[in-house]
Amino acid sequence: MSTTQYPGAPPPDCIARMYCAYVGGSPTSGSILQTLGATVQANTTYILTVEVGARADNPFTGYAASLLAGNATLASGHKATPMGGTFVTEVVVYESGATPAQLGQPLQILITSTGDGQADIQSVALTALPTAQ
Amino acid sequence: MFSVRTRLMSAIVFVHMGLALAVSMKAQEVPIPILNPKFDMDVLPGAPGASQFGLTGWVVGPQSGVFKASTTQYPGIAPSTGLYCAFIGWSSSSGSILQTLGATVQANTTYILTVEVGARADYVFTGYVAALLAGNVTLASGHRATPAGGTFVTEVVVYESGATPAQLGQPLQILITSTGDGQVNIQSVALTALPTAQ
Repeated sequence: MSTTQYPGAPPPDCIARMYCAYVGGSPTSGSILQTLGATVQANTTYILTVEVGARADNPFTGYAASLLAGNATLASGHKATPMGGTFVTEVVVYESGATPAQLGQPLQILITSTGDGQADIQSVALTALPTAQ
Repeated sequence: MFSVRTRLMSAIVFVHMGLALAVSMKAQEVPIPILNPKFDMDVLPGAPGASQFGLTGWVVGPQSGVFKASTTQYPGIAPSTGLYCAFIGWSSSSGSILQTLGATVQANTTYILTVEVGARADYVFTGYVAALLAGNVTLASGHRATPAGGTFVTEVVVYESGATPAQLGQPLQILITSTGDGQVNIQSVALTALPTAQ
C-alpha cells in the first residue's frame, strides 16, 4: 500500500514498506483463513489481536475477525471502526474453560469483510494464557 | 436425505439392537461443523447471475467459486434475490472445492456426507464426484445424482470406518470435483457422524 491509501504510512521508497492483506472489494466480500498448528487446550485464554485498516481512497464497510476450531466459531469481533487512512486494533478473547467442545482441534483464524467495501489487515497475532483455576 | 438416514439407522437398529433403541440412535447423530456449508458467506452485491472465483473456507481449484444463481439458471427455485451456491468447472477446465475439517476419523463410526447437486438450465452438466477423504486418501465417494437442467438432487455418500480404520485420527476432508467440461453447482454440504453398533 502507499500513502494514497494511508497518508501517514512510510513512503514507498522507505525500506519499511507497509504490506497488508486486502479483504473484499466492489465485486464481492472477501476472506482470509489460516489453520494453525496449535490446538484448543482446556483452561486457556486465547487473545486474538488484529490491526484493521480503512483505506483513505476506498469505502470501508465492516469486517469480522474470528477465532475458530474445527470450523466452529469460538469468538469473534467487529468493533474496530477505523477512520479512512488509519488502522485500529481489534481484540477478540476466548476462554476455553475446563471442557471445551473443540478440545484438541486445530485453531483457525478467519477474517471476512462485510458489504462491498474493503478491509485491510496489517497484522494478526494470537497468544495463549493459562487460566487460573 | 432424511429418508436415507432413517433407512440406514433402522437397518442398524433392527439387526443389532431392536427398534426400541431407534430414538436414542437418532439422538447420537452428531453434525460435523463445516465452514460456509451453504456457500452464502461471500456476498455478491450485484444482480443474480453474478459469480466470483474463490469461496470462504474452501480451497478451490480452477474455474470454481461463489455463484448467485438467478431464475435463468434455476427457474422456480432461485428467489428473485438470487440463490447462493458453489460453481465448479467450466468449458475451459474442470474444477474442485476442498475443505479439511476439524473432526478426525474415529473407529466404529458411520459418516454420512450429503451434497445438494445442481445442473444449470442454461449450461451443460457433465458430472461430478463428491468424496469424503482423510489424509488425502478417499474413504468413500459418489456420483449418482443426475439432476435435470434447472434442478438440484441430493447425493448421499456413506463411509463406515470399522474397528481399525487406516486413517484413524486423521482430519476428515470433503472434496467435490466436476468432471468433463460442464459445470456443477452445489447448494449445500453436510456431514454427520453416527456411532456404529459393535
